[in-house]
Amino acid sequence: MFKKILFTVALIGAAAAVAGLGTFATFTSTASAVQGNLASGQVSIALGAAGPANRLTLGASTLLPGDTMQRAIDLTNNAAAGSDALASVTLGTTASPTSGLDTDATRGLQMSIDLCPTTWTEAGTSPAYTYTCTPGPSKVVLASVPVIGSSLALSNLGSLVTGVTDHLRVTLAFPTGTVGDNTLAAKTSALTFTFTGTQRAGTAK
Amino acid sequence: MLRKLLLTAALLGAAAAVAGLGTFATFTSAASAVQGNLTSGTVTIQLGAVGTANRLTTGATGVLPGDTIQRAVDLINSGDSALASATLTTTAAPSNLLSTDGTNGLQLVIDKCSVAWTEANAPNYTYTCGGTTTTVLASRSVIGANVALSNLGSLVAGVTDHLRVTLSFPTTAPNTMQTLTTQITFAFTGTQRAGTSK
Repeated sequence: MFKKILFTVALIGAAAAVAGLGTFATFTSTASAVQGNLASGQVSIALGAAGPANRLTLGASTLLPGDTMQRAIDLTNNAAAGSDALASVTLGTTASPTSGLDTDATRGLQMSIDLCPTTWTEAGTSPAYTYTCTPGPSKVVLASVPVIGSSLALSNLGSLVTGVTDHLRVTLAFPTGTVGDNTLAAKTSALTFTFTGTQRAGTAK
Repeated sequence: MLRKLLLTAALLGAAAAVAGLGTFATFTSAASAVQGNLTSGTVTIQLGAVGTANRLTTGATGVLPGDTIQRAVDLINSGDSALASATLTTTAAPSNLLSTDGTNGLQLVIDKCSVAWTEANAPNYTYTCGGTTTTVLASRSVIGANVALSNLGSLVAGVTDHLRVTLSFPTTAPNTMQTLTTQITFAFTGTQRAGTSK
């Protein structure tokens, strides 16, 4: 039964092909207009190279409640000159391996992001860097939230515009919880930070 | 039968079209940074195993005014983190004049030795120090909560302090304190260092 039906479909296909050939058997007239180039725009953001422009790759060990980790990272809109500005840049974070450090929204790590209009001044010894913004002032890009999130809206970014670099400082804080609560002792997580730039809305062109 | 099959084909076509539109919806660009491991530390202190490293579990009978009870115990920082402090909380069960009389009841002193204490006179243990002795807790009444301890090396991860706990029964104890029994529980608590940049 199945085999028979396949035959039927094949026959219909053959008939359509024949009909297609048939359309060139008739005289036609064509008028053409050649349009100017239609060039699609570019949406491209990038993070700084590992080093002073990207400390986000550095982990930390023997973290205790009350500790903070500060990591600087540059976010650059490197789309071609003249590209339209982005509508938004969002941040998504994931963890692998995962542990209570990232899954426990209360006791686990909390993330906040600030930007400095100039490069952050780095101090301390790797990976325990700290940063100050001189002369500043710094601006809040992301107020404190549990470290794992998706499509987190980022504020005050200049890098929506092509050619602009934002100097960001990502701060991870390990909250001081209840004294004697050892739930999150000896846990390990590794985070991936993904910044996503999205084009402006469609418009008449 | 044939009609049913054609319907199926049409549905598949529709689904494919929707997927096709989706892929051209919006231009985006993503940039990722993968961070190295983030590992939390541990705050762990423990006492030595029952035996020469922990005689605190050994009681005493027939204690008279003027007697002293010496017990060695090791305090070990077996975590990977420094401590801000270690404190001692003592409780008594049952509670009676031996523990509640702050003047005539049991008095507590703790010393440490830079090397393991040299033990003698079992089971009425006494100890001498072959190294340097320092005071961890000056004499006070036996019951206390969160009593600060001084001169501990075990605030540092991996370090062991050799302690000698001395309980003394004051010569001022009245006859009303005869034939009493109590059991003292010693609880050492280590508290982590303050938060820092990591």
